[in-house]
Amino acid sequence: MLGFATDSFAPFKKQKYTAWILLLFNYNLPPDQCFQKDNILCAGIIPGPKKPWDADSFIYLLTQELLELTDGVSAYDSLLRSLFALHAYVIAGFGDIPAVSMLMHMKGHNSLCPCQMCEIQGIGIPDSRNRMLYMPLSRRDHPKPTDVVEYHPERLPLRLHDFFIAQAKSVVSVPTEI
Amino acid sequence: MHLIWENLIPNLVLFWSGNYKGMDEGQPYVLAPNIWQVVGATSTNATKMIPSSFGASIPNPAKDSSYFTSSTWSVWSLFIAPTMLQCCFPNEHYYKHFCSLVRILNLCLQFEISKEAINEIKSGICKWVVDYERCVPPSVSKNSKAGSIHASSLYYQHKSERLPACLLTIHALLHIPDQIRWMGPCWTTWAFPIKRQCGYFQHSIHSQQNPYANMSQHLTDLLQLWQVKILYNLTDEQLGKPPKHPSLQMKRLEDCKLHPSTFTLI
Repeated sequence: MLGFATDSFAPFKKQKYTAWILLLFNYNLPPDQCFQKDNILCAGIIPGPKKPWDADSFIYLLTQELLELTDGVSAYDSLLRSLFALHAYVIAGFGDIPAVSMLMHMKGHNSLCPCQMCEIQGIGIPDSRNRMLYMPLSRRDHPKPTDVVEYHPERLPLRLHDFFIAQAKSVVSVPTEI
Repeated sequence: MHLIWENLIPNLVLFWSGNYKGMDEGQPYVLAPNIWQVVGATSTNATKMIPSSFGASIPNPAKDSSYFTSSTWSVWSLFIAPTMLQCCFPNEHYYKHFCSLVRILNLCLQFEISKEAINEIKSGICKWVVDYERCVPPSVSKNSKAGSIHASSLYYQHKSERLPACLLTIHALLHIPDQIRWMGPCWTTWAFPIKRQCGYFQHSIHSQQNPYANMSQHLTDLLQLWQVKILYNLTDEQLGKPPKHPSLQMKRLEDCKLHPSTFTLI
């Protein structure tokens, strides 16, 4: 069982250049070993200096290999001196907020619906030059009327898989303006 | 989980020291400068008494907070701050609010988390976030005058000009219990090992002109060495790596205690 993770880092401090690493963790190892440096598989580095426009093209090769591994590849067991089918499955993909937004083709933490797990919308400060959007649960005292006045912290509108795919399809099928 | 020590705690510290995006003037959560200086200096001095297995020494949060990493923030917030900040705030609500956060964080850091504990984490985090935004604590609002109501309002206070207090990182806390339910305890999917690996690659760059080629060369070398090791069944010593110090070698799982940055022996 594998876990897939990605993250960005700056090769030089104080510069905006970024590079992205793709890592695989082996969850079959005991918990005290699976995050040790020697047991982390680095599947690749996406070079900078800019964030990849199409991250999928970099992950494509890895995905193909992982699909092969799901079907099983022939491997040699030196203890039993025989061949066996080696299977590996990615059970989780994770990373920090920018990394997961990149993997899921979302707009990231400054968008209107920045949260990866629910559909809560950000609101801005009225009459301000600050264009950032913020995420309070309660919008009761906000001057501009909002669709939802107050979100209940235990009943957030979670994103569902089917709905998310439908949204993605509608985004893809929009004709581009030339 | 990483975001707590990467964003949440540093932001809370900015609030307390009165440096949060220029909106802290006269707010009840700001510590008096001399108190904050003393808290910072005492935190640094306390490091001398903390075993090295807890991680790097703690910088002074009042002076050089830029030297903090998320693991030093975690040690500071979990073990030092709850004692240091006692009786420091003009209003006790802020201290209690912070302590309830530390309690939730300790629950989240457990090696194994039961279903009851997840429910406790969930209700705890929901209450913490609602309190963070809240204007007037309900217990105070009944029998108090207007002055004390103002004094007990927390960070966001339901004012639109104070919206910058409500970052996505505060909202993301609300999803931690669901993530634990779906993926397992926080240590299985947090960003600490990823960040460590990032730092490792950062240090491997020696060329200013071609950093990316340099990095990929380093990675190729590393993986080739790894393949050689597997092919010929070699040990680390045969490859020229120094043997691990016995104290650093991990013992049985039961002897290990989970710590935000690493597994440490009790």
